[in-house]
Amino acid sequence: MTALSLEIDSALVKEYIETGSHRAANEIIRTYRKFVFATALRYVEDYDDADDVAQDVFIRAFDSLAKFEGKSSMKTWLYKITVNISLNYIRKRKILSIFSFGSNENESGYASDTVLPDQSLENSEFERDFLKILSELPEKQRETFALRYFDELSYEEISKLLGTSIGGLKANYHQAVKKITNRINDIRLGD
Amino acid sequence: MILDWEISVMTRKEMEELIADYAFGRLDKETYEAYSKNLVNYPDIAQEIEDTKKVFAKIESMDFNGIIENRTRNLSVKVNQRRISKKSKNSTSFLIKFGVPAAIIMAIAITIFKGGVGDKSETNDESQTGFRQKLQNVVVVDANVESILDYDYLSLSSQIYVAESNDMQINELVDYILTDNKEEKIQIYNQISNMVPATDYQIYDDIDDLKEDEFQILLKEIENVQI
Repeated sequence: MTALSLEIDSALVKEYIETGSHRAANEIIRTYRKFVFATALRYVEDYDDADDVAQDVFIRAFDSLAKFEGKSSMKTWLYKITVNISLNYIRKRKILSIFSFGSNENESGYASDTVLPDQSLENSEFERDFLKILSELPEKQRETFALRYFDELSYEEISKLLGTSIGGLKANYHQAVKKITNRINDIRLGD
Repeated sequence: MILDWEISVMTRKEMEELIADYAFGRLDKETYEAYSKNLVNYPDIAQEIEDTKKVFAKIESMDFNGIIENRTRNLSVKVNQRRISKKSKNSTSFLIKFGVPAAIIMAIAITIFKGGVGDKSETNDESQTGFRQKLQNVVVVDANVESILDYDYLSLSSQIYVAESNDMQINELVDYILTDNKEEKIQIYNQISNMVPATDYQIYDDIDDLKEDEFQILLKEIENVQI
């Protein structure tokens, strides 16, 4: 997180709080939508649910933006909101699944709806396998991997998010990458 | 340029911790060079790096960034729509939460008030429908002042519909009318005449508002009255 991006965030927050500016709100969403969505997706394991969660996150964020003191970065703040809302969502889903007979709560929602028009079936299957493997990782390893690999955060930033030491994060990252590599090789050898 | 003797020896643990960052090109230049030089001492780690690069080349080709980008393209629109919808729901729910009960309480209060608490006359037992409301405003009383005093209790109570009531109820007034005390009777008459419209104009005005069938009902009621 560069000093410049922190400054931009502060300016946007200030503009939104003072004027309720749609422009500022849209800019914040545009900047962090992929990060929020991807984080939600890792928890709820379903694209549609992740979409719902991401919307909830931004609505909650805008409702409480006045309380954002700027002590942490916007990314850190949004990450924590996303994790909280995702975990609540999972709990609600579990409770609802008890009352709806015939639905399989363990079934991942990564399936057929991920096939994009220009995506081959093989690629979509690989994507599904990869996401499934990711979901099987312990939470700390999964989050360390995703935040480092996909979001390219520094170990210092990840440490602030996850509350883990930098040495621990490096070990988590190594373990996660190794497991993913081994699992994908196992699947491919099995094909 | 880093000379060979300047390269720090990295432990296995240090080497393992940086496998992924090395494979994905996330190390700074100096650390990358030092790592590369140390790799010759750890052939198994070198192999692991190669395996990792092959698998993750495939992952890179999946373009997850593009997938997420596609999925979140309209997120700001959805968020804005929900926020607008939430604002209108908030005002609606406030109305439902407070406005409806308040309206119900007011309606009950008005009904009780207009129903005339304590008025035990037969006409006051009737429900306050539109027609009855009109009937209440019609004073079917003979304009001949003196004849009022000759009406018996029943006929008077069924004939007189008072537009506005004072503190004394009409029944109580009727009771007084039956007394023999003439002076009292006159006093009571004055009270009654204050309660009814002063002019026939008002009476006829209200009667004009009645529909034909309503008027017929009124006539039937009057027919039952002995004059």
